[in-house]
Amino acid sequence: MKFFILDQTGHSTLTFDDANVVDLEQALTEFNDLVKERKFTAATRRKGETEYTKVKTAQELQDETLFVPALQGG
Amino acid sequence: MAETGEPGTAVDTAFALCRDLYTRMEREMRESLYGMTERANRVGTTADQVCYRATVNQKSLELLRSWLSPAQLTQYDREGQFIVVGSHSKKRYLITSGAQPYNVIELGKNGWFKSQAAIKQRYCFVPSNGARAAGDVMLAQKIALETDEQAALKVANTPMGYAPPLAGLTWTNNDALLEIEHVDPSGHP
Repeated sequence: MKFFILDQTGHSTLTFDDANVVDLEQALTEFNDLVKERKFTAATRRKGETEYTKVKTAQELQDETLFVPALQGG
Repeated sequence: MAETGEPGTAVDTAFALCRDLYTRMEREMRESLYGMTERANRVGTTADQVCYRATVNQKSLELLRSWLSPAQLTQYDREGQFIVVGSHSKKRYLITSGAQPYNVIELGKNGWFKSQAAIKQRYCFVPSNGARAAGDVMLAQKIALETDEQAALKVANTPMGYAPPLAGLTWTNNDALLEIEHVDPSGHP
């Protein structure tokens, strides 16, 4: 499972092993921190696909998830 | 050779003049070298920053491309801009270069515009965490409009009065809109 987080470096990529319980817990923690605490929008999709869905819980995560920070007027 | 004054004094004076001249030259050379080093450091820093920004920009554009729908990617490769469909109103928005202000353009009903006057509205909204690479801005705008259009427009700024014309804007055409309609009639997602 991959997380792409938009930030000042272009983006950061976090990779988690789906078969590893510790990794999954880390992914869950990271997801909650980004979405619930820092108000990022999460868009998830299967690997190789371009269609995505917006998700609010970690249970809905698919292979690749993009985290978009909250927006402000430019 | 005629001598003026005492021989020792003339030699001393000449020696003193040479020493002063040498000291002044040494100081000027040192200052000059210091200035050159400073300038070289500044140029080096600027070059590093430019390279870093170019890398960040490239990285962000690659991510953007990987999240565009096939129709959007086709249009982006052709025009450097792409159309998204608002999640709520189903209006069409043209996202142009993220490096320009007010780069989100609300299109008219038929999506066709040929002049600034025909653009319905222009918006500007960016990630609040300082992500400013062009690809990041465009990707954030795409996801926002396609998933929560109303929230995006709520925070967006619109030009007050005169808005600077968009540099290098490619007039979009109906072919691109038809592609969007054909590939993804309901919009994303």
